This record gives sequence, structure tokens and C-alpha cells, in this order.
Amino acid sequence: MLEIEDLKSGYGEIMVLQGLNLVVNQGEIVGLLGANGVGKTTLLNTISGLIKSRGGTVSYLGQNLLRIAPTKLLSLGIAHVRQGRHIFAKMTVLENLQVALDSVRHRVNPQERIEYGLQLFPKLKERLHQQGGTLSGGEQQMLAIARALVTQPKLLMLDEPSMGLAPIVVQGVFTAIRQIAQDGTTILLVEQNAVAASDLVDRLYVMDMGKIVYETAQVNEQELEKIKDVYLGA
Amino acid sequence: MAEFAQTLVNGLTVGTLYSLVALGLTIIYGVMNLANFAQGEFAMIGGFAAFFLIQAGIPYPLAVVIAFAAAGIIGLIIHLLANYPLRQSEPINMMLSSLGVSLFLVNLAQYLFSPTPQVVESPLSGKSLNFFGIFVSQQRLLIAFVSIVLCVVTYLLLEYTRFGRAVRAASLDPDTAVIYGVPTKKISFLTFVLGVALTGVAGALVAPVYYVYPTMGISLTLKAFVVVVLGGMGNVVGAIAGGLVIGLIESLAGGYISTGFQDAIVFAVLFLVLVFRPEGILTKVQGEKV
Amino acid sequence: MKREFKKITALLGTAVLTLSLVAGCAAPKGAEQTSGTAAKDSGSGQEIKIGFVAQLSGGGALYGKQMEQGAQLAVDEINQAGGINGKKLKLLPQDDQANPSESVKVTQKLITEDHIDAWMGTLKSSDTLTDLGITSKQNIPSFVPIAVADNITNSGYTNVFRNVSNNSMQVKALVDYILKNQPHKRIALISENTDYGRGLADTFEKNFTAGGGQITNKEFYNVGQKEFNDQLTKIKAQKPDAIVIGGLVAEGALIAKQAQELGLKFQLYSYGGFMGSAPIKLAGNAVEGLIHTEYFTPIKGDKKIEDFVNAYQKKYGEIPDSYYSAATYDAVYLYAEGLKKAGSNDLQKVNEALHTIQNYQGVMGSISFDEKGQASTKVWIGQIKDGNQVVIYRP
Repeated sequence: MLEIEDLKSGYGEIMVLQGLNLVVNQGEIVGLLGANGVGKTTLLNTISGLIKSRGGTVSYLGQNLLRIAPTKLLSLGIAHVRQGRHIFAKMTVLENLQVALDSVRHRVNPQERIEYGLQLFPKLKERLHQQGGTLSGGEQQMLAIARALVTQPKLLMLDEPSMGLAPIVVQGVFTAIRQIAQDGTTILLVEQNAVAASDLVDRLYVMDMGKIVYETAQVNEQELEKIKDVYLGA
Repeated sequence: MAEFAQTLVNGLTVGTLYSLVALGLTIIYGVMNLANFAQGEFAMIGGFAAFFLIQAGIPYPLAVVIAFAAAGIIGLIIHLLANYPLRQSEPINMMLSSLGVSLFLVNLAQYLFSPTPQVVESPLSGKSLNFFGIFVSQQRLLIAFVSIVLCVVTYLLLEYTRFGRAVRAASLDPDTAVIYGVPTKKISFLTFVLGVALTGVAGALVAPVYYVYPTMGISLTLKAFVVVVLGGMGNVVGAIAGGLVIGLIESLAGGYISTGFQDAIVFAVLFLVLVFRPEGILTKVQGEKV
Repeated sequence: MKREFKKITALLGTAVLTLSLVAGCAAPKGAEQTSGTAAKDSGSGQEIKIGFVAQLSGGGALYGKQMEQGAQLAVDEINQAGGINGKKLKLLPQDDQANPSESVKVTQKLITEDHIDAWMGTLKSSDTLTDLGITSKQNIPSFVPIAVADNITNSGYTNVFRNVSNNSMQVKALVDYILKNQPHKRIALISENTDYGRGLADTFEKNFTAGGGQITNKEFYNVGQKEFNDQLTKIKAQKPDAIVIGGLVAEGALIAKQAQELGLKFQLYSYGGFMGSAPIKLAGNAVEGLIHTEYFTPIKGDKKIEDFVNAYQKKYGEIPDSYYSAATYDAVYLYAEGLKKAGSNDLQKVNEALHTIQNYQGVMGSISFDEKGQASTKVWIGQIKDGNQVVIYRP
């Protein structure tokens, strides 16, 4: 579904991605692990077009994503939940969902999608007319995911959904992610929290210094220990 | 008592005008991060449009509508020439560019229309209503009425339409807005055109009360900046309320402190706001601002 | 990060705004409409250069332009008649945007780059005073045809010549007229917040109260201001018999209009600013009945005035209906007279010669400079009646 080849990208003088290769197949949950600052967020931002690539290709269902304007992502079925949530703080929960829906109204039933999102995160239902900025951290993360989900994405890219959340809240969020995958959405999950992610994913990539340095489909305790020791420095 | 009431009425009628200009300024700032120093010049464009249209025999109400369009069209050209090329660079560059636009428009108007003040006649010129000794000029009532209507319409547009949602999203978090399908370039462009067109109407409205001349916009820009800083940069409700507050402060300061220090008092208020609440009086501290 | 930047933008914006306010309250950013291009050669050439400084852009440019046209007409006439002492005169106009710092800048440029032989300006007393500080150091003959603040000729300069009656003379004429011919005893003053306006207000108050009158209000406004409702509301509450507007027509016309809108029906008085057709054009029936002083009026029956009016109309297609052009026209001729008497353009000799001028017949009357360089020209009283300027008192 998503094939990334020799992708290069960066900011100003700094080259962050130095020729990265990665594949996500339809129906998978793919995890991407890596220490802080190795370029995980840069990768997602480059896929989205928020950062201009400097070489390589990103092919999504046969289309070259790098030639497509970032505003078209949702209509193609790619939703990107950014690190740090990035909800629209001065807009209500409902308006946050509506902004996302506005560009996909031609292919989804907005009412159904909102109901789907609220059913997944019932807490948001109570807060529907509250401003996003007044929600708790966990609720904001739920809103950020719900905002992506209401667009009925084929590919959902999640950037550190567990960041800054209490363990119990993280569990809730990850349960929801599993549900989303079961409902047929392909997921690319970027995480620092290896343990939390490992329960969820089908395959794992490990990233360091702007490249994929390890790849495994065997997601078990032993593998995880190895990854942690060698790559995550934890 | 009558004097106090008259002072309040004076302040509020002038305040609505400030609100209208500040509204344009603040939505442009919110979406484009642009402190548009050329804002007042669009009032000048609206004023001159009204002047020439009336000379050509167009009725005043129609002239006001065309002034809106004229300011919008010139805004479109300015956007393409002075804003769009700088969209990727630091906000300060676009701000300086707008300062250049201001100088350019003023000098162009001086060259084309001469610096002489021109009189614009509206059907309401020189007429007043007398409410128990409190006088309000009819043209000023019209200014207040149209300003309030435009402020409310703009507010509703931003709050309850798809376009408004997109504008707010783009102003809150442009990057996220982009990947959630908001065409921010188009939104910036529409917001700029709308923002300056509103100010164009303000120019056509005040033309019969003041005069029309090339430098007429400069003091309006100043006032609008004070209002926008007071109300919170980018805050729509803040701009509308701030306009009324500045109008009242001016008028009360003039009426009860000293008419010689009116502007000084307004600027003293501005400095206090900047020192103690740089995010504006009406912006809550928590959360990212609009 | 972004938030921080917005804050910086706000602060920076405010700083710029405040600066622009301090630098002269929304002073217009005018183009230099100058012809001072053939500038950098020395002053001892074939031309005698008169540096001319006035507001040529923005609100007051209306008058600056008239000043320039009056002076240029005199220069052209003198040159056509063969010049002075075998040399031609040349006027070098500079725009000072009615802003003291700009005024000093262009005056300095005229002296150091253009090496002017004489200086003339400006529209505003405060600007004129600062400029004279510079021209006096160089002893350059300096003409003040328009600015009328008293202290201009009370500063001990021996190179300054003012061919128009000063503020005190003008105010006294108005006060005398009101006390003798009008029933108004309680008067409100609204004046611009400048040397000129404050001078008018103080002198009026002193003379009018000495003559038994009473001042109900002394209100001030800034040049360029457009809202006067606050001042007028305060005045209205005191119920005076009349209002005296101490300022120029750009603001004065708005004051009259807004007074009308607020239902004020008091007699309006003002000064030289209300001469000519501008107030009628700008304020329409709001200035009907206004009484004001005048330094010049294009009446028929005086050959000197008629000749000037005809020549001006021929050249510029409009009637010189106020003193802005008449006074600069006279000033150029007075300078020519000084040059002739001195026999050269030596600065000191010309200054000395100008002080000896007695009863020169200008379009504004008979002119003699006293030891301070002050002349006493006619002060007329005019009124706007049925949309026309009429003279109601002749000196």
C-alpha cells in the first residue's frame, strides 16, 4: 500500500532522512521505533508533504505522493495524526471533526462517521461542544485520532499517540487503535514507547540516524529486549 | 448628564468604525500572521472610489458597495505582488513589505489624485437626529449601523460556515489545517481580500464625515493596531469589542481629562496592555490563541 | 515558538507605530516633489538661489502649493524683467511634510548641498522656528511670509524678515472687532495643539478678558485630527455665545461640520485659515456666517492687487484667494529689493539692506521691517455670506 524508497529529507542545512526504505502492506499495523531525534516525525511529515523531500519516492496505491499537494491527502485516504496532537484548540470538538470532514464529504457520510468516532471515544461525546483546548491530554489525543478517523482513512499514520499520557490512558488509546485496525484501516504507528506498541503491531521497523536499521515480523519479548538494548539505548 | 450621554454616544459611534477596520486587520493577522501596515490605505481606496463614483453620478449606497469591491480587487493585486511571494519567509518580511505597500499606495494616490482633501456628499451629510438634546449625525448612525452589520455578518461567517471553519483552522494551526484538507493558500488569499474590502467600506462610509485624501488611512491604521493589540492579535470578538472600548476611552478621556492628551491617553492604555497583558485583554491565557 | 514570534511582531509593530506618532502624528509620507536637482554646483554661479520649504504633500499641501506658486510667479516675473544684478533668481522647493525633523533636514540640505542665498518657509510656526535656528547660524536672509507665531521675530535674529502681521496683531484685530461690533461676551476657544494654536488661544484670552469678555472653554486638538465631538460636547455644555477656531481649515472645516451635527448654533470666529474658497468647499453651509481675519483679499480697485491676481490666474488658472500665495509673492519681491539695494548677494549686505526697506508697496499693503524684521500688514475682517467670502471690515 505504501512503499518508500531511498527517501531523503531535512531542514535547512541538516539532512535528517538519509535514504530510507519502508513498506506498509494493506491491513497491517506497522510499528516504527526509534530513539528521540532519529527522524521518525520527519518521515511522517515528509510523507504528508509538510516537509519537502530531497530525493527518493513515496508510492501510495501506485501514486507518487511526493507530487501531490498535502491538502489532497485526506481525499486519497491518508490521515496523519501529528505528534503533540495539534487539535484546533479554539474550536469545539465537533468543529474539529467537521473541518476534517469538509474535504471528504464527497465520499463519506458525515453523520455516520461522527457517530463512529464518538462510539470509539465516548468521552468526546460528553465534550462535543467544548473547545478542544479545554480537554485533558488524553481526551485531546482521542480527539486527534477521532478527527483522522471520521475521514474514513485507508492509511492512518499515528505519531507518538502515547506521548505525555498516563499509562492507564495509553492503554485506552491503544485499545481504540486495535479496534480501528480491526475495522479495516491500515496503520503506521510511530512510537518511542516500545513495550506499549509491541502488543499491537504486526511488524516492526527500527530507525536510527535517518535510516531503517532493523526490521522484524517476529514481535516478541526477546526481540524487543534486543531492540531496546541495541538501538533505543534504554 | 446630557453631556455624559453625548460623550458616550460620540465614543460608541466612532468606536464602531474602529471595530470594522480592526476586524479586517485582525482576521488577516490571524490567518496570515501578517501585521498589515497598509490596512488604512484600503480605507483611502474605498474613500476615493466613493468620491469618483459619486462624481460620476452613482448613488451613494451603490458607491459604498462598489468601494467594497474596489478595495477587494486592489487587495487581490497587492496580495499577489507583495504577500504571496513572501509566504514561505519569516513573518517580519511580509510585515515590512506591507509597510512598503502603504508608502506606495499613499504616494500613488498623491500623484494621481493630488494631496488636496476632497469632499464626498452622501444623502445624509450634515443631517442630525436629536434625542432629547443628544445629537447624532445621521451619517454616523449609518456608519455605526453598517459597521455593526458587517461585524456581525463576518462573525457569523467565521463561526458557522465551512469557509469560517477553514479560516479558523488555518489561523490556529496552518500545518495541521493543510493535511486536514484546508487549502490554506486560498484561505489566506480570500481572507486578505475580505479583510481589506471591509476596510474599503469603512473608507467609503467615513468619506462624507471626514474628507478623502491620500494620507487619510494612516491614522486609521494606527487606531486599528491599538484596537487589535488591545483585543488580542487575531481575536475577532476582541477586535470588535476593542474598537468600542477605544472609542469610549478616547471620548471619555477627551471629555473628562483633557482634549489635548486624548491620543496620549489611548497610547498609555496600549502600553499598559502591552506590559501587563501582551496577549490582549480579551484573550484567555490558557490555550493557543487564535 | 510561533506564539513567541507573534508577540515579537506585536511589540515591533507597536514600536513602529509609536515612533510614527512621535514623529509628527501620522505625518504624510510624501514624495519629494522637488526640482532641486541641478543642485551640487556652488552658490556663486549665475543664479541666486532661494530655498523654499513648505508642506507639499499630505493635508496641508493645499497651502504649501499656493505658497510655492506665489513665490514662483514672482521669480518668473523678475527673471523676465532681466533678473537682479545681472543674475537670475531660482526657487528650490522642498517638501517638509509639516514635520519639524523633516523641515530641518531639507533646510540643511538646501544650505549644504544647494548653497542657497536666501531661505523662505514654512506653513507652520514650530517648523519655521527650528529651521531659523539653522539659517541664522549661516546668516542667510530668511523670509517668513506665512507662519505668524509671535516668537519668530522675538528671537533676536537679524536675518529674519516677516512680511505679514503676527498672531498678536491678528488676534487683537479680531478681539477689537468683536468687542466693538458684536454682542458676544462669553466665548469658547478651540485651538490646535501647536505653537500657533496655543499662541492664538493665549493672546485671545488675554485681550478678550481685558476688554471685559469671558472665556468659557480652552480646548485643544492635534493637527491631523478628525474627531472633534469631544471638544464640542464640552463646549456645548458651557453654552457660550460664540466659538473661536484657532487653527487651519483642514481641521477647522471639520470642526464647523461636526458643530453643526451636534446642534451647536453659536457664532463661529476664526483667523487667516478660513480665507479663500477652501472652507466653503470643505464645509459647505456649516461655515455660513463665520467671521474671520484676513491678511489678503483679491478685491477690485487696487491696481497692485489686481495685477497680481490677473498674473496669478493667467499662470495657474485659479484666483489667489488667500495670503498664502500673496505673501510669498511679496517676499520674493522684497528679497529682490534687498538684493538691488545691497548691489550683490552677499548675505550680510542683503540683511542690512532689507532692514532699511521703508514702505515697500506689496500686494498685502505697505511693508517696512522693524529692527526685529517684523512688518505690520493689513488685517481685514471677512465673513462667509451666502457661500461667498465678503469683507466686512477694512483696515
